[in-house]
Amino acid sequence: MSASLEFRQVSKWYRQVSALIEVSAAIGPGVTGLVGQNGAGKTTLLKLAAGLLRPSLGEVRVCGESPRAPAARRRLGFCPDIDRFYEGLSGRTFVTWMLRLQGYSRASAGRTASAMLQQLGLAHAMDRKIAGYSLGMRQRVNLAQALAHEPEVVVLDEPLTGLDPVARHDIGELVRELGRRGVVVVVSSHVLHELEHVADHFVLMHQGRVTAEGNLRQLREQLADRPREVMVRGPDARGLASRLSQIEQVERIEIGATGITIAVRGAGVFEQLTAIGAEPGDLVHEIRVLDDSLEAVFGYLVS
Amino acid sequence: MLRWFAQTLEAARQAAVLLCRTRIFWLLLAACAGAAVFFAMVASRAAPHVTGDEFFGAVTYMVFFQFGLPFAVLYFGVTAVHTEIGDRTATYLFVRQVRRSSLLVGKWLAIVVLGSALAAAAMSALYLAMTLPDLAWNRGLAPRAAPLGSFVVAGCLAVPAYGAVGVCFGSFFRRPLIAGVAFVICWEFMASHAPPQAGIRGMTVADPIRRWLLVALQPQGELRDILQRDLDPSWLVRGQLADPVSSLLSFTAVMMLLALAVYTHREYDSRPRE
Repeated sequence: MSASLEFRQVSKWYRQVSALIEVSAAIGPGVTGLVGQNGAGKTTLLKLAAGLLRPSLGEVRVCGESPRAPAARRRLGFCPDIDRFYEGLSGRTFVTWMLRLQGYSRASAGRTASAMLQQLGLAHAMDRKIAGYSLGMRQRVNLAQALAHEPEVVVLDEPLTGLDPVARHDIGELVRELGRRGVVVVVSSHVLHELEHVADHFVLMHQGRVTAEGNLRQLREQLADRPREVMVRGPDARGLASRLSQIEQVERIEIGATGITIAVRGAGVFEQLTAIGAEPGDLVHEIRVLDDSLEAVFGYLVS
Repeated sequence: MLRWFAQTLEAARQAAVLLCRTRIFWLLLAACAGAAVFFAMVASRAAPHVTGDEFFGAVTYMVFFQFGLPFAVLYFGVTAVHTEIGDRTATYLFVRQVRRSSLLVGKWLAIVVLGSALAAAAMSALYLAMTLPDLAWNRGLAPRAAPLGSFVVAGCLAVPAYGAVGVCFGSFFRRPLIAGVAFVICWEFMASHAPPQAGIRGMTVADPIRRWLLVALQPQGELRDILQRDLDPSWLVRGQLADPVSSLLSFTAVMMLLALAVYTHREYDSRPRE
């Protein structure tokens, strides 16, 4: 059975509160970003994947197995969004203990834990107590316990929150590397622009439902009814605005300090903009799509 | 099955190490030594007719079995199970390839081992303090070794039962320490005063332990009065009360089964939902 994570019509209620409503998604190898506001149901979905919660309706499958089955546990690594550990233990002891519970022998668990912590840049601090670790170091230990047993499905709940830029970059690189190796990685995050660089597939959630799914281009295409915002910059703003107003698909033109923002709808706009750039008179220096970012797409979908 | 045992032992080892690293464990050890010295000094002022066995037995039963041991073991149970659930570190364990039953039984085993060791240490400390001949407070009140042995065995019978109550309350209640205090102070006191027909004496730890000690020690004088309070000896003769060891085993088994049912099935999600 190839590595996969599947949600089939999953609903989850906490008494009268619906946390998830008929969520279906099939996630394969690579990095998938789980995007949503607070309370959208991201953490509930990830806890279901980790077998910490049971769905009220529907089913969850990790590599074809129930997430509570021992076989699925062996293939799953979970990095929870918590900042608590056994504070009196060292990073190495903590990861070693987790591996021992995973079935590793004493010697093998120690070796694997050390190697994992070294890989995550904690070689110098692995024998210090976790209580003295910085936030970045704690997040690395959290990742180490999730990845040390080489799982095929990795679920990371907000792994980038609160980290400094260097730590974000390092962890982002690690996640991308896992994706390249064919591991199923699901990452939830509020830091959308970071997630955009890490993930190649996205699941957008809002109020307990999956509102959209796909890569950025596919997501943007789901918003075909919305005009796209494009920034055009050139030395003669008035002349450029006049020329842009002749394009049929342009709905709105705003001249700002940094350039001209136009709202366009329909096909063939970019060809026309490129053609204007090629015209004599040096009208266009730069054409930039403003709302192709994950943040913009998510904002549209939620609004 | 072999894997289950191996994982249970590993969970027990980890829980024991964590419990040994708590400040309260070392405070309790220190308190045992302090209490031993204190009560040995009190013994030197005891009335002349009081024997060493009586004094040792009365202090061990009233201070240790009625308060020290239940609260210490319940605290261990709650710490081992509930603290992890409360601060969500249990999440790291629940996503492992290990059954929750292994985790819980492992924690209980750790409590049994550490609790029994602590109980034996506390009673031995008192015994030593009362028997060391060169100490100023020892005035011929040295107890015999036999009562010490009986009390240590009684402690080793009580610890698994209180440990089971601790892990059960720790996995079930949001405020397990309050429930534990209520169990020891209210429930055990009330049930120990109930007639045997009520059938609730077996739902305690204190009552079977007291009955076991009565048989094992065959006490005289004040110690007999203390152990026989609210207990008609004819009930024992007529077999109206179950065998104490069977009572304790049944009680421990029921508590552990309840704890396992809750711990293995409950979704411990500490986030409030509105």
